[in-house]
Amino acid sequence: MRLASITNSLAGRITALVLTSVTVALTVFTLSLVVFDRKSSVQQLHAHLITSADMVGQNSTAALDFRDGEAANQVLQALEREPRIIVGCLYDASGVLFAKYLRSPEVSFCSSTAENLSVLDETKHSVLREVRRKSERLGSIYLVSDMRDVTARERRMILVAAALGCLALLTGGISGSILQRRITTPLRSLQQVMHEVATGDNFDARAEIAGTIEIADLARGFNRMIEELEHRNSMTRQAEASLHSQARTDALTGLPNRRLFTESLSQAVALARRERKAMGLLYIDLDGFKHVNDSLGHSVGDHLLCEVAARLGGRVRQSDMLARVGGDEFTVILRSIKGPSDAGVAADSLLQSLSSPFQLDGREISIGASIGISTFDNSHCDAIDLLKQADSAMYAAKRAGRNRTCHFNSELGNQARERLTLESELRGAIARGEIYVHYQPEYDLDTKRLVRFEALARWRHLALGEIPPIRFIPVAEESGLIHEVGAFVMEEACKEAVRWQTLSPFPVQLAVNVSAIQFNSDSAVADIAAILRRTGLRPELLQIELTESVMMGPVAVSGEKLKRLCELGVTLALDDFGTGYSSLSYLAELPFSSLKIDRSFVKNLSASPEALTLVRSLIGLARNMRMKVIVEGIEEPLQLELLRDLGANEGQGYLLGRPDGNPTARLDRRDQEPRSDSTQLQEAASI
Amino acid sequence: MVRSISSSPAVRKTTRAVLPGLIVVLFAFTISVPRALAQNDVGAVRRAYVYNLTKYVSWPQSKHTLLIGVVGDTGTGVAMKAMLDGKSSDGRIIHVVLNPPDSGLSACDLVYVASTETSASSHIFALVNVLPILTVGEDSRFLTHGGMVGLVRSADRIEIEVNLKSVRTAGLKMSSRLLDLATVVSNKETLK
Repeated sequence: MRLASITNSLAGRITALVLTSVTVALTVFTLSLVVFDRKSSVQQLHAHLITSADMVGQNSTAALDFRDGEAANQVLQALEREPRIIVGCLYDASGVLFAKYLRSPEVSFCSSTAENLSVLDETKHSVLREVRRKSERLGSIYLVSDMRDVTARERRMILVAAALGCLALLTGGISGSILQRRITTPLRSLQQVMHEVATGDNFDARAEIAGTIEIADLARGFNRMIEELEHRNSMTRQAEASLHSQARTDALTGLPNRRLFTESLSQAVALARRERKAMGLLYIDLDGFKHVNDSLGHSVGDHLLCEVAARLGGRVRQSDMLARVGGDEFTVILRSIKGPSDAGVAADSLLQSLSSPFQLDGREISIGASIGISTFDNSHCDAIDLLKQADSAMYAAKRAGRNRTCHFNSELGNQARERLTLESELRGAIARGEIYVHYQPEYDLDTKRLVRFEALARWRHLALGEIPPIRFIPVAEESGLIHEVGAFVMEEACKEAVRWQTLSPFPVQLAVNVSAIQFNSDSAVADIAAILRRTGLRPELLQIELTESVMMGPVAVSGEKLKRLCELGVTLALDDFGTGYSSLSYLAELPFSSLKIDRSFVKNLSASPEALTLVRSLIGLARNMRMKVIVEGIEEPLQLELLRDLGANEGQGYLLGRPDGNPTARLDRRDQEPRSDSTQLQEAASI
Repeated sequence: MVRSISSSPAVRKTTRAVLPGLIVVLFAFTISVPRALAQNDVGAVRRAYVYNLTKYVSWPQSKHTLLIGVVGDTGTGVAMKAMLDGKSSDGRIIHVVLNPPDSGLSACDLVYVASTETSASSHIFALVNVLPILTVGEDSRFLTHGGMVGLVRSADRIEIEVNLKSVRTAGLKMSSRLLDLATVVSNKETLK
């Protein structure tokens, strides 16, 4: 483990590398030198032996010629001065030993003939040279040398090399150690700086510029890298902060958006709970903003929203938070209030800020708001509950007539819960067969003839019993279930109406209410056409009744749609006429064939002269626009008489017939006159 | 090295060649010498010595032939001619002439004086003394009379004696290797 850490460290590796290099270099050098030296020594010895042999041979020529063995021995004796030569043998021309020299008596390598020389071991070296005088061969000479001095020299050289090797290893080790210190010390300092930057996020750390050129360059590069990192880090943080801010700001008004509002609300609720203080929440929805947007364009709408935001912002305290949470919805978090009354004061102040008209692009625009108020007083509710309560209170304010404030109370809570219950029950109501249709007759006031039945949706819940339309229709509209319910009612009614035609001698029309939500769907016209096709009801026998709210959208779009409905062949009636506040001016351009005057006008008809005047003028208006007038809610014979006098064309009401699940009974009457349930009504009918 | 050997104490007074060994030498020279009496063997050794002497002596003029004149005993001359005539010595062809006339002597390169003719040697020396002619005799007195090389019999061997001064005077050069084997006779000795 320890060894592994040493060999893995740079220091260990440098030292090991230096030592290994020195060892290998020395070994190779020594071996090469020894081999080369030995080879060279042998070559030198060989050359020396050849020279000696040739000289001795030359000096022996006369002795050979004159067969003077003694002289030859004398000549060979000269070899004594050559310590390496241990044997010299002179052979005559026939190869017979003629003279010899032996350095010591114990060595005897002179064989008797030149053809039969002794075999020598590795410690000896020999040469055999011919002795010639000019071209004439006189004999041969054989010299043997001892290699001992070569071997001794070799040994000495190895010893010296070993000593030098040890010295070199020591020097290499020391210099390697110094080298590795010079390299690794600055590297360790770099490592330390890197560690600080990486783990401590300390971008102030800088490496010291020291050491060799390369190390100093590395340190400089390292510092540049840290600076770059620091720069990028700060850029990233700025970008994050910017994103964080963007993600929590409404781009149009610059106010906090829903996200920031939700976060802040949770914090405010938590704080209030901890400090046992009250806090309030205001939910503000502009009244009629959609109308402004649709009629004057989105740019004006946006401009208006900014102005509204500015006015609201001018009324909230520094500690409060105004946010825009939806298209025309604003919220205010009221921190540290004493109770609901403080919240009410704040809401009134905000409402009051909107009371004066806005000047936008040279126009004067008035807009109100419905404000729901909820307060947190250390109850068990949380931020979500608080928001729901404010939302419910805001809807209550809308229902109560708009441009007002409304505190949340337990009744509202019950209503909200009931709406939720109804919504969940309504989802399966059609499938369970709980939705059914009643038909209320409408008569021609002149001819007293039945002209049509109005189809009315009914809901009989298995457990809850009969639920009136006034309760479930708004729920259906808010939840979008109205499409399903409306389509079901229309299909059922159309089937029923087809049956009527077989029973009645006269054509009997069917009137079906279509809510604004249904009408505004893209497939509205196609859906109605499909139902007519499926049921086989002739289009002219269907009257579609629409309220004024269908014209809250863009008039061109509504007009186009109404035109297409007319082209189908159906007739159109404007329902609940007089209750809305939309302009009558464009009614003439729309293809309505009838106006249905709301029951509220009929109610006081007999008692109030103003009501009579109002109804008269409405009827007059309709006539001017060449529309028929149908009056709802006729409950008294006097009302019937008055209306007939005023010129109303058709009538509907309990006096003339209640909604009924089995309308075919009325078809049996040959005269088709209204059938009253009481004597009074019969009298009235007979007028 | 050469110098150390050449200046080695190899200058000796006598050379002792064993006669049977000479026979072998003669065989080595591809000279067929029939085994005969001891006297004949001595003659053969002397003839071989003459032949070898030609190899260790340099004449001032290089020629293709080497003319040997044998004066005195005719038997010796015949044997010499039989053995050496036509042979090559260092690239020169040997011609042996028996008892040449005085005029012919000066043309010789080597004059061999047979021992029986010692009385005539003075006359011969008078003719050839200043010429580059190597004179070879068979006894010690030959050198005292002005001869250059004596192949002197001593017991069972032949010794070479050299009068170096005569050799030099005649303008001849003798190899040191030969001198190592020979007995050099000084002028004083010569005078004695």
